[in-house]
Amino acid sequence: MFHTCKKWCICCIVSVLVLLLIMGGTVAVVDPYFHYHRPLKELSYRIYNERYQNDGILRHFTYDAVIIGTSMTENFKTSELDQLFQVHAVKVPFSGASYKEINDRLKTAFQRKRPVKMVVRGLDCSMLLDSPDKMNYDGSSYPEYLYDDRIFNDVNYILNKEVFVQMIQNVFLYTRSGAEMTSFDSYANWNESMTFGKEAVDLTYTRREEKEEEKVSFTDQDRENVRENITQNVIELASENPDTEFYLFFTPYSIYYWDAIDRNGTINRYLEAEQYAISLLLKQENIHLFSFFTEFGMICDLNNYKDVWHYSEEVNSQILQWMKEGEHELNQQNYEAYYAEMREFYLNYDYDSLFEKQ
Amino acid sequence: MLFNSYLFILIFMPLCLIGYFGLNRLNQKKLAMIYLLGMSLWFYGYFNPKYLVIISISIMANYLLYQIMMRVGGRMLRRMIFISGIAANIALLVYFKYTDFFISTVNSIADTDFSLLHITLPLGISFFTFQQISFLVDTYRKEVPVYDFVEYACFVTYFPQLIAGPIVTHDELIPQFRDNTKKHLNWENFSKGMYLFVLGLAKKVLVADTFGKVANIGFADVSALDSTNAIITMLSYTFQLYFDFSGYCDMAIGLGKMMNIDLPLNFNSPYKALTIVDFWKRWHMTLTRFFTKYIYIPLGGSWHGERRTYINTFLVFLISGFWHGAGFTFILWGIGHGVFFILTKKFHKRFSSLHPALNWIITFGFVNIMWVFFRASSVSDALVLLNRIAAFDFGPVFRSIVSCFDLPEITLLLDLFPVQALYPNILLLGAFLLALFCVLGTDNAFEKMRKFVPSAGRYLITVILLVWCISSFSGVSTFLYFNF
Repeated sequence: MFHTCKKWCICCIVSVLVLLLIMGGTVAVVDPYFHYHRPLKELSYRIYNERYQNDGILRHFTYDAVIIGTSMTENFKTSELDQLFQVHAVKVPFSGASYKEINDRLKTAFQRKRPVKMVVRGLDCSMLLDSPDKMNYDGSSYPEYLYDDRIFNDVNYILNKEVFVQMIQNVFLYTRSGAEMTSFDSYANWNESMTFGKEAVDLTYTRREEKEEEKVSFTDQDRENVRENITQNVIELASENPDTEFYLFFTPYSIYYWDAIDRNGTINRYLEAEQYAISLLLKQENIHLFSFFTEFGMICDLNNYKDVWHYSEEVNSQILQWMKEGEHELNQQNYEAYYAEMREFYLNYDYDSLFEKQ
Repeated sequence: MLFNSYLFILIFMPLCLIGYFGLNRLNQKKLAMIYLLGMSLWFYGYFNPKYLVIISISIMANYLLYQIMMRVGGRMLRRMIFISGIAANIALLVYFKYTDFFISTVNSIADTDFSLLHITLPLGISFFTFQQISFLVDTYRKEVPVYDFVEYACFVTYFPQLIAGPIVTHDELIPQFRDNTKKHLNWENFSKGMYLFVLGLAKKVLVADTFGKVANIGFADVSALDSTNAIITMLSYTFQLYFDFSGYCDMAIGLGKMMNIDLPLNFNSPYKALTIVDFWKRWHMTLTRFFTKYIYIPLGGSWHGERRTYINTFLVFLISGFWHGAGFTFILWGIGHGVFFILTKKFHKRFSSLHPALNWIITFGFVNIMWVFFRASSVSDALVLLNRIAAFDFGPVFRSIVSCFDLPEITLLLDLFPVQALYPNILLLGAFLLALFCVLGTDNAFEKMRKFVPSAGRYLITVILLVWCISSFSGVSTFLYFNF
């Protein structure tokens, strides 16, 4: 077949280049992560990989509203938001993301001049005290080559066997199976696959045996952290985009969350952090801030939860409804009363009663 | 820059080869060498441009010392220059590699609280320092001809061997740079080099990195291991280290060959060794050569009786351990090998009377145990892992370990066959058997090149492995959910 080394070498090099071209070309044309274009009409795409596909969704999909946040926003249905607010929304949750990560991704969408009228964003109050530059995962694991606009590092995307395999499975085989493209109601939605209720929550929660003394108060350093975190990762974007309405809400964790911070002696610290964050957020006119922690019935009903933090899709639907109706919206006039009511409830709640044997 | 990167394979290597051969074809031989030097510096500086300052100073200082030693006639003065040169090179290495180790040792012994300097170790400093020490020694011994600066700088920075060896000596490399018959593209050498480069790349990317994931899981929490998983962890590191290092050296030799430069063999199928003495003739051969020539023989070698020979041997292994890493685990690794080496020499008749299979098991087992010290983050971690093995508490293989072998492309292929119920365990078993076959049943790099003919089989292997490797440089991360 090969008479000379020269022929052998040239055949090897040409074959490798052709194969790489086919591989890279297919990925670029099909574009399973929507890096170059919106989904091709002829194919069905499974949307499943938040950190790899969300940036493409924000780049190329048609939308005027965005639902974003951690896993607390995964069960939202964009169809409900569309109907309530007459928008066309996409959902881009980032499971386990820090404030900075979420803000960075959202900021990129604005920098690309996407016409965003409305943002619905969940704020996890357990992360209020985090450093403003905190990223929750190892920096090298984020696919930055998808996030930036540099063409040369796209080689990481187009010549990537895992992308190629996933493209075969989640576009070609998915299309062949006759499935429709994932809708934003079902994208990342885990409601159907989880069990809710006290038994399920108890399995995920280990209660501290002894209650810690209130050992850590809200320090000046904490105040500075909250200020920087909220200013840099929430308020700045809102102030730079005054034509966009930001619907922000504190994600309503279960009563077990309050027990956890009560048991480890940090409940006052987190309460004060939330109060300070509210006072900062309310200064920004285009921010609509909601908190549902005074919806005590919902918080204490463990049938709404699968673990300490995560609530069912009914809660997500209810949140959108409340937003539409302006229920639980905080403003300069009512937030002191809200805070006092919440503080009174969670500081005096009989947490032990949650764990008494029936 | 790493060999196993898009930049190297798709941009750097073609540019380097085209530029080097192109300039030589235009009869711009000096310019070709300067181009090669520039490319090598780009290769090195890509890791961290600050490293360029260090290597440049080191090269210029050593070349200056060489020039002075070549000119100075007085014996005492030459000796002084030579000793100060060696001391300066060792001081540079000690500063970057061992300062924090010394500080933390002093802190723990004297209960002091000196701050660590957290010095970043410039890549390849151990290699280029040794290369230059050997050059100064040979200069002092008047064994070095006249080299110009570009030749010398090319010898030290020649990118295939710069960061992980083989440790090449000036008389191996510079005469080849000068040889006019080696300056033009030779398709036979190019094919052999490309073939070896691809095999080395596959060793590194497909094999070593896969076993590396297992080793990382196991060594991250040794106390969680049972005997099964401890053995798998230990073996995985044994394979990872060999395939990683020898793969890198194969790539280096292959790259050299593509440019008609012969680099020395560094690994001669070391896990085939039947005794530890044999192992050290096969493992990192250019380092052993360096230690023999510049430490063992100057210490007296084997010319002063058996006892002195053993002391010299032990010292070489102790230094080798410390050279490999600044930590007590490396020192223990060196001591262990030294002691076993001496025992093997002392009782060589008994060892040679054993069945070769038993000798192989003893040697391979010992090497495995010593690699545990080499890899563990502390001596106690190493002992815990070995204790876990000795406990004979066997359980199922961890899911996290099994899943390391669950490569998506393999799974996709296996999905076409009715074997789903068997994997991923079959993948784990297959990977270990394949690795064992590779280390015991295949030729070394030189034999592969010697037997090379441009066959269809080698064409398929080269094309498939190269495309597979290139597309493995990047991946898709899994973001394991955690509670904020």
